[in-house]
Amino acid sequence: MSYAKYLPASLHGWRRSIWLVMSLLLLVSVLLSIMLGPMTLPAKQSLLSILDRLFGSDFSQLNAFQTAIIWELRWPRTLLAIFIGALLALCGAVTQGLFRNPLADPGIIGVSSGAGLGAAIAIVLLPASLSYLTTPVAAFLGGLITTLLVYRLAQSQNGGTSVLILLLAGVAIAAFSGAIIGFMTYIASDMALRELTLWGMGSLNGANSISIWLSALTCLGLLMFYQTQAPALNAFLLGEAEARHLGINVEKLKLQLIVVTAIGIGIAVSASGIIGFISLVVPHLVRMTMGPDHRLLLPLSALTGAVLLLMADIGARVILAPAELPVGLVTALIGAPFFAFLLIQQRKRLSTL
Amino acid sequence: MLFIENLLVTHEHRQILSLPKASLVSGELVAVLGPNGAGKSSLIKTICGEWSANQGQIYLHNKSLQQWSRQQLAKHLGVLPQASQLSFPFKAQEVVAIGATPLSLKRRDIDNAVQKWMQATDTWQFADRIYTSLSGGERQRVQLARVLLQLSQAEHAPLLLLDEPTSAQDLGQQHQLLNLVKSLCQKNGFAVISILHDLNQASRYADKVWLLHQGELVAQGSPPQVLQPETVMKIWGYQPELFFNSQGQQILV
Repeated sequence: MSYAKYLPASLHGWRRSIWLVMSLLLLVSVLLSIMLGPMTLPAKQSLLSILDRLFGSDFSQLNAFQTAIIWELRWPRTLLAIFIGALLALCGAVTQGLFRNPLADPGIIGVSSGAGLGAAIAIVLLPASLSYLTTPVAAFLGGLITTLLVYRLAQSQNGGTSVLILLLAGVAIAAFSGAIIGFMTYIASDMALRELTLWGMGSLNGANSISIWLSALTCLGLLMFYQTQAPALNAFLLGEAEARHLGINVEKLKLQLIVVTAIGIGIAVSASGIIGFISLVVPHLVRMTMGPDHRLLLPLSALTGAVLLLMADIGARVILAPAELPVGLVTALIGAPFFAFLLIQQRKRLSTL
Repeated sequence: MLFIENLLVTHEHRQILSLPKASLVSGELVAVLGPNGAGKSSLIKTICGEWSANQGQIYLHNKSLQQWSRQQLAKHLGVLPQASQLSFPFKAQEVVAIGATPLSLKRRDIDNAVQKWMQATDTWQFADRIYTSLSGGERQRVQLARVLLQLSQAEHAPLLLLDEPTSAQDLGQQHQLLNLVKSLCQKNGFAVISILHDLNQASRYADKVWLLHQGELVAQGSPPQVLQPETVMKIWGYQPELFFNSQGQQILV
């Protein structure tokens, strides 16, 4: 029984083996991601190439050009997709817990809009020759600053923060940065405009060793930090007063989570632009199948987010091959109808929130 | 074990609560009575630290509340809220297990304690149901089980604050719940402060009554002392009739 009513009957057996299933899915996705693209490579040879790389052997019969495609283009991109997907889903899960609203998104607390604002300013106003460096840094800083500002706005006199005010402040900041981004778009040169638009749609095209390492380390750090806070987050879901009565330093917890999540989203946005719906849909999916306990929800969301973004990126490369869609479009195309479906299914329960 | 001294709570220059002196010993059940807006919930919120008092001190086991560490206080002071805002699909037993947050218990011990307290609060039969699908009264009892688990590792007698615990319960559950609370007082030395609305329930279960009116503690003492028809008339504006049952307990109708 338990979560049964949210699940088709055929999925019940999956609950126990969910880790195995998701890990296998990740491995399959990695292999597909290596194989597929404008030039399709044979599955067996691609697999052998990975083994060659891992064990220094020489099984693969791919030529130098094909090996280069794998290791110069597809492998970095695959890694970035995994880490960014995990990071987005992880931050989404924590934000939903922080706001005690299963439909909340990190965008709400102002990180995405702030990061977008930073990126827009960098793309339009700063020299284009440095944009590989300035855009990510500005996006990250913009996200962090806006989040702290929103949090500051929401802080009440007696030292508490109201989730409602936090939310409304996030809306105000989003509107403000929307206006500035609009202004930037208006004054942008044609080239900057194109870059701005593409960045806004999100892409994993820009994978390089810096962005991969940065997102990998952030992902790992966040996983470990959040895991220590998982029981406190569970208590937090009961309400702020209840969490306080359970001995949790609620103000400290909220500030830590907001800053750490802003860093996570800032890094993700700076590496890959704005990729929507992963942070919203993945924790929701995991919660529906496995329940809302953060000790399980957080790591499983990370794994599921990695799989989902990797698959979306494969789709982005394959659908219009040899042309390539921005991956943010793919996640929105799949994510938005799915999300609407969730809303309709749970309309009754959600209307009481 | 609980000692309140010169407590004064104001909000925007308006006095909300004034309590010159009140105390509670281990094993005692106090019913807080008073009309709507008398300051009953404010009293609970101030004692549990959600609101800070402008003046005065609250001592628990001879230690000012500010001097307690968060974790130690959580083990000794439990609060049952009137309603909870939980909107995530936890199972009932997962909600109860959250009560173990401040405790140092092994996984298996938590499971056993969850079962024990859910049985005590008559909620074990829906341990696997989703909390949000339960009725108001069922949710409140699940929350009570959570709070009792939270207090189960107390080194000194714990203090339990109940904000209208019977409001959502049917008649049978009201008495079952108050009996449980009463036996925790008698057997485990709990001290309980509970907001009640039914004067006869207060007479039957409480050792002491704190009567609040317009933010002032106007009377405290045993239920028969405090709950006289003329007092009830003065506070609530309703003139009750006084009867006595076969055991000699007074009944106000």
